[in-house]
Amino acid sequence: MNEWELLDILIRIGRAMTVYGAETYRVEDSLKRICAAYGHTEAEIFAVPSYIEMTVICKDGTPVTRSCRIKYSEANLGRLDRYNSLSRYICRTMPSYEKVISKIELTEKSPEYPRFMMCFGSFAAGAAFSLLFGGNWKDAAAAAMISGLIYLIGEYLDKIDSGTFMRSICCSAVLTMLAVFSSRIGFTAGFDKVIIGGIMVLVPGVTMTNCMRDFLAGDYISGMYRLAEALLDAAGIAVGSGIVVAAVVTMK
Amino acid sequence: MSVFSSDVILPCLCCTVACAACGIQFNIRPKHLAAASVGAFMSQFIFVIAGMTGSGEIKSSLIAAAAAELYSVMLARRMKTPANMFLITSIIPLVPGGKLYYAMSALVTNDIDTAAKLGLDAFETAIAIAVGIFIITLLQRVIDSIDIKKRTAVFFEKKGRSIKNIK
Repeated sequence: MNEWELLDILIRIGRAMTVYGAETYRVEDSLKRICAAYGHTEAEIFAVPSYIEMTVICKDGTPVTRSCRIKYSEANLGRLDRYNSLSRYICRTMPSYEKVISKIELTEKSPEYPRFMMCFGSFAAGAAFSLLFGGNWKDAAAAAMISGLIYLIGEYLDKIDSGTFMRSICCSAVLTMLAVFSSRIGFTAGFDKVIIGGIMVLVPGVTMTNCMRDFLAGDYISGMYRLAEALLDAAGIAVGSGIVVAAVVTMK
Repeated sequence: MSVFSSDVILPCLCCTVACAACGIQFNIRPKHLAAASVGAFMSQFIFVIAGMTGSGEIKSSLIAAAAAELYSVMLARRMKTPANMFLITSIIPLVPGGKLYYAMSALVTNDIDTAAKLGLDAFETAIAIAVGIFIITLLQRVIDSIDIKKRTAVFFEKKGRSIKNIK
């Protein structure tokens, strides 16, 4: 494998791992190990959640650099696990370029949960969180239906590239409206437990966990990036439901 | 109150269902999903038990987060997968979503005192979770540093032999 091909597989694997929710330390470490496996121990790799840059030195002394900009991320831990095993496999057996590319393509096509299963996941999580925070079965039923709907709305907002902040504002505003509606028609006694159940489903769990792990590994730029993202997400959720609750309170 | 009363088991079961459902949303593979749900059950169980034995919510969050991190790091080593796989689902139920909502709702009703108190509480809980994770990560680094395999690897490297033979 020559340097160009090595950088090509590095960039594909690095981008995929970052997008699917790996912490920065893991991305840099995996790429460094792959480089070392092919005999490039002096490779320089820099990664943040939105950018990766890597340089290896050819045998005649020419440095080769590639970089890639990452514009979005989606939590997909199953794919992350597959990429993690792939990079272990590469380090162990050092396969040829064509083989690695075919493996990456196979990983990109690996099975995911079907769409209705995802929607059902949101449905069940809403119900269970509502019960966990002290709601009764009626709250849970309302939270479940609302969360299922919120999943579909979130999916649509992702499709039109609305960004995480707008996404959480819209989702939590719709969630609060529907919860207030369900209490107004007398299905649930109050709307707070329903809203909390829905909010817990929207919480940016992957970003928060990765933020903490980045800080602990000493990747402060990535940590700050993810902290900002998580705080904006949380603020978006609070603003979205805050607007609606304020409107309801004033209308009383 | 017994440890196995419904006050303890029911929240834990709720939490397990919720986290399994969240795991599906994060597309965790079926073979890891069961382990992740068990992690969520355990962290909530520890959270409730710690609360029963008199520690406040913040201290309980710290202990539960530390337990979750320990569980996920050990399992990650065992199953050769990122620790996040198990950690994220175990951490989510500890997130102070309820407090955040009540703080916000107090804020829009002009009850600044309650809002500040609850907001600060939520912030402290978040810090406690981070500290819980931090303690175990530090512990893990210490244990790794006295890992015998790594030591021999370093030893051989100094002697000028390839590290690949040892792996």
